[in-house]
Amino acid sequence: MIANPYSGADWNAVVPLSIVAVAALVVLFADLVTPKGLAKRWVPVAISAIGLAGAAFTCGEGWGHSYAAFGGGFMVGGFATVFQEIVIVAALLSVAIYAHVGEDENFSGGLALLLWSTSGAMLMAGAGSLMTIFLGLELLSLALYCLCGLSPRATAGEAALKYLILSSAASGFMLYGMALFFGATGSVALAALAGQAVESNALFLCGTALFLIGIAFKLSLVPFHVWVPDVFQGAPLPVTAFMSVVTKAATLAVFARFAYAAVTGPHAQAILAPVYVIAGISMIVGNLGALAQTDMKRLLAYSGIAQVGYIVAALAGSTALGLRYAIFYLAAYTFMNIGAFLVVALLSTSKEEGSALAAYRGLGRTRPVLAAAMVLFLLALAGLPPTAGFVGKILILSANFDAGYAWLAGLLIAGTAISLYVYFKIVGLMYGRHERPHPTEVRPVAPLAWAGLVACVLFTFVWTFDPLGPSNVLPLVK
Amino acid sequence: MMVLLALVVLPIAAGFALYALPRADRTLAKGIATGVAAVTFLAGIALRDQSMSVRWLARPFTAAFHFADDGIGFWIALLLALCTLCAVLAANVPRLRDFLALMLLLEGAMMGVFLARDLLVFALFWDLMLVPVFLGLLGWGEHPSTAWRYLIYNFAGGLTLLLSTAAFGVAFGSTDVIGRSGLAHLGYIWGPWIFAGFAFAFLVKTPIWPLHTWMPPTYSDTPPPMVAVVSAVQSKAGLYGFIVVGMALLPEAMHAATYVMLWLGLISLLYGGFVALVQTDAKRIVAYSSLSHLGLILVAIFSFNALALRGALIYVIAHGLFNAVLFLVLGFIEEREETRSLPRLGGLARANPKIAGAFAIGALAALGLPGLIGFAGELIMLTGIFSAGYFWPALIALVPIVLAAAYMLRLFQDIMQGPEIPDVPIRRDLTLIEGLAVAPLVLAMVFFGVNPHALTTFDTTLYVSASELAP
Amino acid sequence: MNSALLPVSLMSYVGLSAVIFFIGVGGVLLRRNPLIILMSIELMWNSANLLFLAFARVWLNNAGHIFAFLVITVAAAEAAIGLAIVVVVFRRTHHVDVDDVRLLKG
Repeated sequence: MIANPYSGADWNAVVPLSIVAVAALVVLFADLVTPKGLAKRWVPVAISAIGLAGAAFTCGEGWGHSYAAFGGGFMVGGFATVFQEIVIVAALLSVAIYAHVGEDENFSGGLALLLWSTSGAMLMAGAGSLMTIFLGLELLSLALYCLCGLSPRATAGEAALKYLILSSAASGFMLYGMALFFGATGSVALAALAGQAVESNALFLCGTALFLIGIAFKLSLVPFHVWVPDVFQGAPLPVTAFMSVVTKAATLAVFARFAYAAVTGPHAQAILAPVYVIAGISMIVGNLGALAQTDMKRLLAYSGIAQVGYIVAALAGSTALGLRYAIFYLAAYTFMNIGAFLVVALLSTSKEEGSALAAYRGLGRTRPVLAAAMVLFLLALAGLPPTAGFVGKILILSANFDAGYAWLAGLLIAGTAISLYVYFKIVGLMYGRHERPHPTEVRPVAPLAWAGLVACVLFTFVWTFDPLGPSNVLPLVK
Repeated sequence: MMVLLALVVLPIAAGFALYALPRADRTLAKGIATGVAAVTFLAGIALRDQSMSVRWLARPFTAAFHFADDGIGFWIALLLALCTLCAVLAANVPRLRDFLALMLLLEGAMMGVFLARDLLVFALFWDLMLVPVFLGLLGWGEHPSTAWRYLIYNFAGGLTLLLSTAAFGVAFGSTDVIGRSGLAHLGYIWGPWIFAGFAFAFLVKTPIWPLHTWMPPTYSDTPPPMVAVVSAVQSKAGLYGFIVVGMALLPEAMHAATYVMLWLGLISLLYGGFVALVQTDAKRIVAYSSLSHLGLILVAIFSFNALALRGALIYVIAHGLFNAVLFLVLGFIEEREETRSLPRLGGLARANPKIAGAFAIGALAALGLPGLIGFAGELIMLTGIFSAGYFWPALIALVPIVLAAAYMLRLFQDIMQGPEIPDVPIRRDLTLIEGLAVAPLVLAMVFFGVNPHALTTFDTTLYVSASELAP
Repeated sequence: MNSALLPVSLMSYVGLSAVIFFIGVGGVLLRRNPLIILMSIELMWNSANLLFLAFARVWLNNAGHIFAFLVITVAAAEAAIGLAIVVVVFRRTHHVDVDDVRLLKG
């Protein structure tokens, strides 16, 4: 008889993500018993929303109660809580999109996968050991491979195959890096990497290189970004919206924990410098790539590459303020980016997704409210006032100056200058006097999607004036 | 507090509210917009020693939504309110409701620029004021490419401003600094770079040669009411920035740049003057004359002399008033004749004497006729530049004054005098509303022309002595 | 770290797993058949497993064993999903070659 080594507090730590995972099962069971018709769509959506809201609530309970559950395998507290809340909010907004444009076929299945993927991301956000990182990452990714392939459109299978191959290969790099970490320290805890004299250890250095390649791939930093536009374009719209934030948020949580808590020696900045260099390059390359796009999903994929570059840049120097601002920008990015996807969803017709740029011609006259919301999101993505994006950029710039990375600030400004053309091209399409309006089909009112849109607009706008960086984050990282 | 809110927030809120009105009801939209602009103008008159501050950021540097008026900001804000009121009255474009909404948004954003006491808020409104002009150019301009050129130049400036603001905040610890002077020096590593970022933004916005190429197409493409506000007030944001940011906050870097800036200013004023001589598009003539006049103001600012600075402020207001009049009247003419090309215009004075009269006053003020406001500004500036010891710049600055007489008289002559173009039917003269739109501007030109020192109520020592402290 | 616990030197394990890993990487980069690419990915993952086991023995820490089991489990799930997706693509195009998968601009 072996005594249970884990206390109730350990199990409480994983309650939020268990709620999400169980909600997915409930969705599948409910699907079996609900009669055909409208309920087929609304019952699963309601269950998912309730599950996510419950997770958000229980997760918020952990705020300020720092605790290392399962012997340090899973962390609870400020840092993990913030990232988990971001993931949950992104998932809720994606569910809103899914409720509007999701295919009838496999509706509940897709929703369940989305929830499982969310729970994987939440696991990553709190992961304190290599094993939980890997488990969370694979839970997130495996569900996403399926989600990418769910749609009956011809491109979906292709996107799924591409994503599966490249992402699994990247996981392979990360896994090998983890094996080398294990070899260097004899422990799977991230914290074991800190404090020991492992920096000069060849195993540790090789492991870091491989681990960071995997991270860079999942964050879609240049030069590991080529899969992003294809996968984003091929995947169904809600999945694209979900991936654009959740994968990045979860990976960012892992990277931040690694950079702040595991690489702490005197050469820490030199070891992490390559990541910041490619983050800087991503800002330029991502925006340049977005210039030529004619599809909204591809455009947002490329712009997302640049945006994640901005967020990673905030971490340069491993300063406390930098982490705070990265989290703020990530939260703001969640709303402005998914907000843009919500507009795309509301423009979608039954035949095609509203992602072709041609669908935006003359939108300022045909759908003034949607166009105005889109302008706000585009301003935010471009970092113009009066949006959270503007404040976020200022904060990142000052964090860079503060940490002595003025060159990153310069690259950020250069990237923003390029991005201006990308975003304002859409504004031009919507408001140009010579643009002939695109014929639009009147779709049934989508209350959930509109509610999501309103939330995104509010947060994007109001955070300009009150950019409360989530406080008490840093002390809880370790 | 309430007054400041009325100035900044009211136009923006009203701008958005206008979109709720029925699209087709032009009179209602115009009535409401005029009412809002009038209230803003009255609030502007009541604006004295007001201040409000709401905390914004505590880290990494302190910043606050701090608005207040000093002598310079007050007069420019009043000019802005007056120009917007007149422009809204004069507006007569398709989709009037949307256009007026943009005008009010533009007014609110620019108010923010001139009343902000915090660099970060200044940068926020600076970037914000791009958007209405861009949308105006897109929706009502002739060529989309103009909108893009406007946006790219000005956004590049906005970005360097942002970069410098962040650097300033980190280096100094606070951005709540406008209107203060004699701050701790930022040192030789940060100072010049921060100033360079600000200076680029200001030079683009003014604009000054060689960054001016967005300006002539923008001025000729934008609908007249909007260009009246943009040319009269938005172009002053750069000069205002040089005074309140450059002189007061970064005096050493400002001094170090003196010669470069003097040269750029002199080139602008000569280049603008000569190009204005040969243009045939009426709006472009006024655009290039602007380049010339603004170059002169830049020279005055960079002569670091209290008298020149006072003259510069008078001329900033003067230029705003006569440019607004000229563009509004050119707009009326273009609306009637459907052209603004000089060879196709002529003899309007006989049929439309009121238009001709209004235009004449604007043109005379622009060429510096004594008794109107332009003369006072030019005279005081030149005296100041001269007494600051810049003999040659003062002498060169005389050239465009002569040129201004030449091109302004040519403009007037070609449009108003000479043979009438035969195929043009008789057009109606200035309507009552159009007259009401131009009258306040003309009155202001005359009033301040005889009494220019009413404008110089601000304390120049704040800026000049701060810059004299520098080595 | 106690290398004496291994009958074969630690470097041999590390070297072998590195060779397998790079064979896997080469397969992913060079081969065109998705099935072979999936197999190459398995090689990459399993080379990491070998490393985990070797280090677990050296450090006398069975976390490495557990990790290896975890990886095997996940790899099984991943292979199942991978094959399913290959079948979906195959049904649509009737042949599978990643070069022909080009509806997306890529």
